[in-house]
Amino acid sequence: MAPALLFGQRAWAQAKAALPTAGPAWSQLSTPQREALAPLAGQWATIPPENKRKWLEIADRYPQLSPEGKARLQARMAEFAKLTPEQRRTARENFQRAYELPRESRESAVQQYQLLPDDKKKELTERSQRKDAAKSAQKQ
Amino acid sequence: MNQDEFGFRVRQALNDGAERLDYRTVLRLEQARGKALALQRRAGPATVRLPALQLATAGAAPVDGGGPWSWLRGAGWAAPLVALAIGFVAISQWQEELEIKRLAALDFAVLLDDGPLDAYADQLFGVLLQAEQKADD
Amino acid sequence: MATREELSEFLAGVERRAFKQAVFAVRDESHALDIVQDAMMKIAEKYGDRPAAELPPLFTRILQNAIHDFFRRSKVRSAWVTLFSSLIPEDEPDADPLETLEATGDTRSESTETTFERGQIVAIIEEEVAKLPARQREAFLLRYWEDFDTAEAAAAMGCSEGSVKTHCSRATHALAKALRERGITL
Repeated sequence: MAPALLFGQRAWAQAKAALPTAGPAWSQLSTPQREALAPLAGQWATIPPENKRKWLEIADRYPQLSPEGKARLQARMAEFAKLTPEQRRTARENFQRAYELPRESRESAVQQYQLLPDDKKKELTERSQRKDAAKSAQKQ
Repeated sequence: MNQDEFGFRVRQALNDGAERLDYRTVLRLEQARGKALALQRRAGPATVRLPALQLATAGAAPVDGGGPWSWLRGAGWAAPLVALAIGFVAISQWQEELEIKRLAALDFAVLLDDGPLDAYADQLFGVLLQAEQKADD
Repeated sequence: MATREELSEFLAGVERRAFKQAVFAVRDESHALDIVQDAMMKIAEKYGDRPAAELPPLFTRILQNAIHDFFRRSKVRSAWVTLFSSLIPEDEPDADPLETLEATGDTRSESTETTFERGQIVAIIEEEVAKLPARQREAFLLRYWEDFDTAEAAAAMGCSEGSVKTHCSRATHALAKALRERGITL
């Protein structure tokens, strides 16, 4: 009886009624939704309900993409969904930060990252984590 | 090539261009759409039958969701407070919906971008970006 | 009567094109966003109860009006829009630039190009579309981007079908010529 809500809410409520905790099952999605989210079919059952809603929003936009866009989206989809929540948060932050920068700076940072050998990455990560820990210790 | 074929090819280019919008624009369009939907003109009776919502007052009485509204008519002075609480419930569901849409738009942009995902997902990459930022300043 | 889902779906489908069309007209992304937002709010407010099938032409008209209102409010028309209209000849030369754009054996002429170059091409096409005189651009985009037929475009533009065809034809010739001069073959 609440005021009418945004697109998807009714479908969501119906699905939620069917499976109150996990969100809609893969078999309950429409064909276009399943087509859009195909790379996630295997892990769909393990995806938390709020994230399922987010993916369904993305599925809605999928038909508007060019074939190139669709391919890229799906190529990265499975990888992205496998990240930990922490990594996804980092990815969103880094993406936004990257887009504050001009193109050359962005590309330079990518190049530098990709040129780092794994052991060097590990070393730098540990060093910056120690720095962060020291900073927060100082504040207290 | 005739006019229609030319027009079709230009259309393809325009569609490409429409997909290359940066995520800030995409986000703003999402928000605009949300605002528009909130205003949608509905023919017929309102979906909520409540006494006039007076959202100027602060403080919300607790609401037990669902259930018939007839008891509200007898609630007298408490009715606006209850209506406010219902408004809050609806608004926070709304905000949750908006947040999900915001994240969806952001993730959509991340997925379509050509930056490597393993870089984005790494805090170390963030450090490199900060260094680039300082270099620019 | 359009449901919330139908209105939402319609707006989601049209918002990017609408934004681009507004940018072509007003040459400013921030203003374009405001225009699109105003148009979306207006259609929802005034016509949200119409059947879903009526939304596209209504929205087109509202968007065009919003763009025209923007120009009326900003007292100075974009200087080079006026400049360029005076440069487009009224009568077409004998040679039809379209005929010289011959498709090669591979009609996807960008098959050997990278995404980066495609991006350049797209940007140039957008620039040239933005340079078209307003009525020509409107007719062209309505026909080829919004898929309006001549009658629908005439209704949206408030002119005759003959005018739509003329504007469209001039737009196409102007674009073809401009792209040829910039070395782009579609």
